[in-house]
Amino acid sequence: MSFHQKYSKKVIKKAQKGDRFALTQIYELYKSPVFHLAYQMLRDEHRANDVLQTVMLKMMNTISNLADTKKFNGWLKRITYNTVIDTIRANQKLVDVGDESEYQYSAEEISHQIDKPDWDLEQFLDVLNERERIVVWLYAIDGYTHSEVAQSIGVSEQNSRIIFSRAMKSLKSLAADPRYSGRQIGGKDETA
Amino acid sequence: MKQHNDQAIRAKLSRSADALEQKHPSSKQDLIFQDNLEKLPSTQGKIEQRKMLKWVVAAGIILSVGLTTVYVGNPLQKEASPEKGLPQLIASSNQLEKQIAIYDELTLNANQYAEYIGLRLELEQIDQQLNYYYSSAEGELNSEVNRLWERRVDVAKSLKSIYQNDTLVARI
Repeated sequence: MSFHQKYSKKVIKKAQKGDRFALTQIYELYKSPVFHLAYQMLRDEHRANDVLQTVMLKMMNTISNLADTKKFNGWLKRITYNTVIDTIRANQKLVDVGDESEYQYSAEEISHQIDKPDWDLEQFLDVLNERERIVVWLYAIDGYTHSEVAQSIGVSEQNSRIIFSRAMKSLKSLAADPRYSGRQIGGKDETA
Repeated sequence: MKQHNDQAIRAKLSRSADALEQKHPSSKQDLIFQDNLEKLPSTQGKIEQRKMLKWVVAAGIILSVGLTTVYVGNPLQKEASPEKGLPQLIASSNQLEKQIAIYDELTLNANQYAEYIGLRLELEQIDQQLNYYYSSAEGELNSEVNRLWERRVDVAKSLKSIYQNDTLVARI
């Protein structure tokens, strides 16, 4: 379920005036997309719930400032990303990776791994740390550039590239390990 | 540093993401949302009230000015009138008479003509009173003379308006 929901402009207008029913309609329409996105990036149901409620509170308090109702989907998605990033930042997981070098991966090789029948994105996301996960999600899944990712999460563009390359390294390791049968939420770098 | 061509990786990861099982929040979250929603009016309501209060105050001011203008007349004009001395009033009256003179009373309909006669009689009465004051040379009644000329100007304006209404009707 994506953020590309069909909503009524009347509902948005009513919500902007504080209409509770309209706000509830918006919640019902977007609760799953918001929760899903938060969960995929945090891999933690409890914190994804917190993000959901925070996003909805922000929506209720700032929807009156939204000038163009056509941009509601993108606006709410941006709030969700920012809230997730704030959550990760609160745990101090978004520090620069310093002068670590970028892992040199083969795009063809990685593509080949993803094409395998036993490829499991959930498994892959589980082994990444939060910083890697959000970079992979923004850059690879949502189509941000490294520059945009860097701006969103407050690291340098080079850092964004390094983080992504490390995620690719994990992907390669995961695919190469025949014993792998699922790891615990958080992954090896989660507490680093 | 080598720049990777990630297009294929991004496309494949994006497709994988689309195929992920949809995660849904628990129904308990709906209750939490409703609780948060209940707390909302305390802030949102105040904003609306403030906006409403501003509009009510603005509307009240506009209404007061409008009603004052309609029933009392423009306060700015009222303040200007005391500065109008006798010479100005006489000049205004003569100017109005010149303007009225170009009209032909035979163009008026019965009702307008009756009104015309009434106003003309009133003007004659005012003129007689003025003549009386001027012939008696009672200087202390200067304020009364001023009032009569003001009255004359008003009646002459009413007279002029009869013709102007007639012209307007004819144009339509």
